[in-house]
Amino acid sequence: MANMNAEAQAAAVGEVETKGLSLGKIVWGRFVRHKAAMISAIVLTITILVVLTSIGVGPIPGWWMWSPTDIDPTIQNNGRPTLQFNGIVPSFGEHPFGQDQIGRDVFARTMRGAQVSLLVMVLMGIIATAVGVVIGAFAGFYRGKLDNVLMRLTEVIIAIPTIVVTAVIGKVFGSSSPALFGIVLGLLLWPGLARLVRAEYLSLREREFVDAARVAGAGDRSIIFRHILPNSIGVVIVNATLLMATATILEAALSFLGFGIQAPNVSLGQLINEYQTSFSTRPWLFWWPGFFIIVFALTINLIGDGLRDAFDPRQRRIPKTKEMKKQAIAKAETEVAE
Amino acid sequence: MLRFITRRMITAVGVLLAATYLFFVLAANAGDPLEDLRASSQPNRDYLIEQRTQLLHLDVNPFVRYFYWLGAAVQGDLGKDYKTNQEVTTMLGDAMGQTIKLVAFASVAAIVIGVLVGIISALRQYSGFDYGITLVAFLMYSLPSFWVAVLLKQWGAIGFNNFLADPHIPPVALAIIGGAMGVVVGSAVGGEWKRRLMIGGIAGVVTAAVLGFMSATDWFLDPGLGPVVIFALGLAIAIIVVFLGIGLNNKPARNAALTVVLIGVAAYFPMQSAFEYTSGPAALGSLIGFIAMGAFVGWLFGGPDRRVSARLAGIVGGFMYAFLWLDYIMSWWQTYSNTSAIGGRPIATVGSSTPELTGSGFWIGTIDTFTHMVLPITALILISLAGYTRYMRGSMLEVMNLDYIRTARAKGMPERTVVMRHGFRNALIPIATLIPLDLAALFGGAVITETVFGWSGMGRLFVGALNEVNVNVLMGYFLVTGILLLIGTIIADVLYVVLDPRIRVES
Repeated sequence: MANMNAEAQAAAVGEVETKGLSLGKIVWGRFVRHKAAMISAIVLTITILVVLTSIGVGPIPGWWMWSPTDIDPTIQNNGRPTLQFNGIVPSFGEHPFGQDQIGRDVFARTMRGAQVSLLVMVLMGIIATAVGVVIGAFAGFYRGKLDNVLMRLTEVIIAIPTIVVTAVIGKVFGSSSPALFGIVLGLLLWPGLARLVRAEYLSLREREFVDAARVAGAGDRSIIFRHILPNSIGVVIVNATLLMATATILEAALSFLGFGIQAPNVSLGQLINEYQTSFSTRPWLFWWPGFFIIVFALTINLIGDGLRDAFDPRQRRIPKTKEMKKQAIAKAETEVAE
Repeated sequence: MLRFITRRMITAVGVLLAATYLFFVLAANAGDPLEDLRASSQPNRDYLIEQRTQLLHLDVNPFVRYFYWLGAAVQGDLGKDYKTNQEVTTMLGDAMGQTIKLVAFASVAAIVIGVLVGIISALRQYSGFDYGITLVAFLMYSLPSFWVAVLLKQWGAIGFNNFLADPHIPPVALAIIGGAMGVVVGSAVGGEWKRRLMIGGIAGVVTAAVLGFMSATDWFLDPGLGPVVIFALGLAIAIIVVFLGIGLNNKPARNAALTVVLIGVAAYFPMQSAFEYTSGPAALGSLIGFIAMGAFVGWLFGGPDRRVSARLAGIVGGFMYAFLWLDYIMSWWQTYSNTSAIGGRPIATVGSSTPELTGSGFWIGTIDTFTHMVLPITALILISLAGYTRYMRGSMLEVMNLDYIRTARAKGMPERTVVMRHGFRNALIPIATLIPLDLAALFGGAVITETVFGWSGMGRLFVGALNEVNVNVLMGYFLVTGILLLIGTIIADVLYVVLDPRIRVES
């Protein structure tokens, strides 16, 4: 009995990990316990599903009755949103997010904008992460001259304020296609991650397992990507997540300034830019794109925070005083019983 | 150390050259500076195109054109704006002045509030307050700044101006504000439930009562503090400063602070006429005078630790001057608000001053600047606050779990000393190294905030120049921000070494 209690206490403090779980399981277990991150992950998944399926992707049709370009000639009630709540039961009506001045459905347009913003965000995140990992890994692993050159290069890119350089790039590439815009921005956002990965490699390359791999005949490339990279995966995943949250806001800001996605393409920032003058007459045009930007940025930020906690080996979640007291009482009771 | 700095400077120059080259090529490809001329129907169109091509060396490949720019820039000539023919250096100077005005106050406020909230949040880890602050910080972190800015314009400015037309707060609103205040304060203070309920309840009732009084007496139309309120505020500040600085048990410090408050209140009527003839430099001079007066009083009260009393009393003196100043400037509010150019709608949404009011004196001018700055500053604070709060919380938590904190507690130090002297000071080190970088970045202007609020600072200069593909202006802008950012990096590195003796530089 006392034994079980000690175990429960250890579980509460997070010490059961010593029992030989794999890193993946430990991290997953900690992540699931992080309530805010878990809720965010669920909300984000549902949002993405709705965004993708409602108006369909490319040639695949969606379940929503309007497409972003459809014009409904009857503008009902000045285009006010028909979304209503009877208690907590929502009734959607024909245009739940309202209509704009020429009768287009705001829900469909917001969904299209969210799709484009997601595309840009994911492309930016993947490319920046890939470039950052490769450059950081090579700089940290080979050190010396290559490190010097690569780090000076990152300093050059850091010396240019992000919004400034991305605005210039956006002006050049933004109007052509969202995908290209995302890719080019990704090529500029890697320096922060590269520095962190470099620091990881600098310390990991001195460890015994690297020597062991080399003795076993592994080449440089295999050591860099097969042996060291999995050991620094925490830093990479956490920062890639946070990078995506930054990318969401950055894309929206650039499109708002007119240096990003431009009409006829729509993105969340571009929608706000297009509709900002009509705030006083049709505020809903302005509300919904902003709402989705916040949903994306907030959930991704919280997931990143949860991942950071989950990957942090020093992380020992201290139980609340209430729980501690409860356990102490339980323990005292069992001792008395024995 | 000197060698370290020199070496960093030399690398910085190299980095700057490479970055400007990259940026020049990018900027030159951002569009066509001849666009407006090509579309024009003037008879001398071809001549104008020819002239501008000559001026901007457009016939030269951008990869080579950079060296024309660099050659002139080294001699201090940053070229001209091709549209207005203005020197880029003067444009930069003007924009810089506007940006500093906006950014200086916003960043100081964001840092102070962020540090404060971060510390409380760390000291009450895993409490309701901590979770609440964390959630709010994440929310603010995820807000798109342009969205916030437009909302502030709509609700902050237009809403407040509408409110001023009939400045009465309905009882329901009073109850809600008081209740919210009570919940925040109650969750921020520690201790037993009973104590927290009581403190929170008092805070809520006081807030509601003060607001109700202000609403009933039309305070918002003709604000002012008066000697009684100044005395109360001074007393509160004195208690807080002495409590945080050395503890209320310290008699000399306590008495010195109280004396300074009394002197400040006694100076109320003399200062009224003194303020009438004040301008900017004189105001700064009298602020320093008040601080010196406070320090002197603290010194006179002496005690075993004279310097602490002097320092704390000096801080109280500075606050007393601020209250007196605030009270005086409030007395001008009604005059300002009722001028025909303002017409009772004081909070402005666009620009940095009301042109009709130029030359109407220091005080009216100051109020006018304030009413134009309040919205962009609020937006900036909201956006940058979250980062500082999170950072300070993490840093404070890390420090408070270190062994020397346990040692300090074990040898019987009062909790105040442990937190303020052992914890707080060391937790500030990472923040201190963050600040130079942030300030340097801020000089580049808050691009989005300035654009939304029509504030003609650095950020707007950049956006305008990029729209016109005005390469000379873009390069001038980039040169200033790039240099500041590199200097900021070096200062941050040096600060780290200076503040944390465990770190050694390898030169």
